[in-house]
Amino acid sequence: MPVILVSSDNQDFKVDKEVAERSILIKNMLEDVGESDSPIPLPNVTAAVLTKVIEYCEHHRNDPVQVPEETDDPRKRSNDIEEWDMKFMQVDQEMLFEIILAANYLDIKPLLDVGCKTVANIIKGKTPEEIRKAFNIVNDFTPEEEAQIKKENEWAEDR
Amino acid sequence: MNPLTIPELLTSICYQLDRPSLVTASQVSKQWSETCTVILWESCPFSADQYNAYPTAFDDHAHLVRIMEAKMRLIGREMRFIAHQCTNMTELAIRHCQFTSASLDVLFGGIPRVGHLTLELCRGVNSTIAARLVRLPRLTHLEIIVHTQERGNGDWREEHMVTLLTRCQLEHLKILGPDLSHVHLAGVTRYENPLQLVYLHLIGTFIPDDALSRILAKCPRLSTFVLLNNANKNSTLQTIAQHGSSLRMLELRNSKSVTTPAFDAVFKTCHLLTRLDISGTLIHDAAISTLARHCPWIQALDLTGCSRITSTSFLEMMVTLEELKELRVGGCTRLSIDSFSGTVAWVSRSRLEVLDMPSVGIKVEKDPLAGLIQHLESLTRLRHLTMDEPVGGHKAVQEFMLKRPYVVLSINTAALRVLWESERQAV
Repeated sequence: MPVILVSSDNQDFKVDKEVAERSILIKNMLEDVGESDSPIPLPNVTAAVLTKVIEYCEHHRNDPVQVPEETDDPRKRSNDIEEWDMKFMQVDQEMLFEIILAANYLDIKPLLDVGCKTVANIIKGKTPEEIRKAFNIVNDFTPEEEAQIKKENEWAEDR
Repeated sequence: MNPLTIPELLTSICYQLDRPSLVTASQVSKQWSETCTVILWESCPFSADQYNAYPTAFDDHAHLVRIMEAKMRLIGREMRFIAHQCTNMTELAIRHCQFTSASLDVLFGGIPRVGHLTLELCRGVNSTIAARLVRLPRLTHLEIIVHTQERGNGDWREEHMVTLLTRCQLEHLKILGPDLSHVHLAGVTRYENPLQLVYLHLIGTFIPDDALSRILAKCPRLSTFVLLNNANKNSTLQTIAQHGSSLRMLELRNSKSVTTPAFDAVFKTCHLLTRLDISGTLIHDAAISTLARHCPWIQALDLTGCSRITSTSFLEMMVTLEELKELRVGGCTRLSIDSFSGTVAWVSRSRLEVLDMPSVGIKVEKDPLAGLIQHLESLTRLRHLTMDEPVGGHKAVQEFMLKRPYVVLSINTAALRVLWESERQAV
């Protein structure tokens, strides 16, 4: 049975329940209201972003559901992104950020992970100044503080 | 909205970075720095070589690491790190951890230089720890705060308490929470040397009078003694009076069942007191007179909520306590405008810095405030004044405040209301 999702700019999206339920937020909503054909409003997601998110969920509709384990060690990070996901994420930075925010709001863990990995790949290999420039971040350190931080984390540069 | 400004999302992104990128990213901005530093320490391999190269960095941040690891309950690895790498650490505070006897052994085997140790709300910590503490030759400061779920299960044993008191050279001991109502500490009396304790803080332990007496009798250097939530009785205060002549600071808040003879006994012996907190007690005028006559060195006095005190003994006290710098009498409802009207000059008026006097029976609609203002003006060093709203908000007081801009006026009665409620229930 299809589910109707309504974007913040009032566009309806008809998707399979299985696809919509990649979002834990929507899955929980559907469980709460039970059988109902009333559309689900998503006031934080625009049509453009929702189109992308649905595209991702369609592609991954048959993936096994990730069970969040307590032993899930954040340190076991893998940087490999699937080829399809990599292509999917080839969007401008604004859209990339929108997708991350939507994935966070809709609680789609694998999409959020892919988004974070993509941002991390942008950060890698850049100098602090290049990172600030890339993401429009203000440097709120005094020169002394910046030197201090550099010194404090010296130990981690050693291998 | 930019997801990089949301702390959780920035954290998720930074978790995807390798160590060199984290180091670079930590130099981007203050928010990035905080996020990345935490992740760097979390992924720290704790190798001996690294520790030797950057000992201060490791010792400084060990605290940060501990707290995080505790939340993640990865305590075993953490203990090994502290035990093997931070051997120079002199202060160690462990909070909200879960210990096993094996992890305690690892920890205490590796921190020979620790002088100050705090174990706060850690599961698995009971009096058996005493045998391990003996292995720390430099330990002088110990604080143990016991989880409420672990109090009163009989784990705090007589023999362990004796070991703790006699075989560790503690100067500063704070114990909060465990039930000690069954200990008697006869072993402390048999110990030939005096105890080194200078500071003793017992909260909620319900330690019996005989045990207390045995400790106090052995502590010639004891200067600060705090005994709270202990259901203090007259006999408890008599015990303190018997052995407490060296005390400089004494805190017996909320000892509601204590009466005049017991207070008298304490004030007559503990004549060196400089700080005294007997707030929330039902102390009467007679005992305040004794205090005024016998404890001339008092600098800080907390009588908050002592609602039985009247102007008579209060003024008697104010003409004798010359050293008084801090006076808290909020909620002493039987005091009146006469107590603060300046007809009797306070002998400490050139010393008093803190005056806490909300809800002291002054009625702005009836009482003339001119005397109060004149009196406040005579307090030349006053820097902090607390009043209730009708008095503090009154035009006359506000004008006084304009003339004395370096005095801070607080208007707060909420805390007192709580005190009154508890008193009403007790009565």
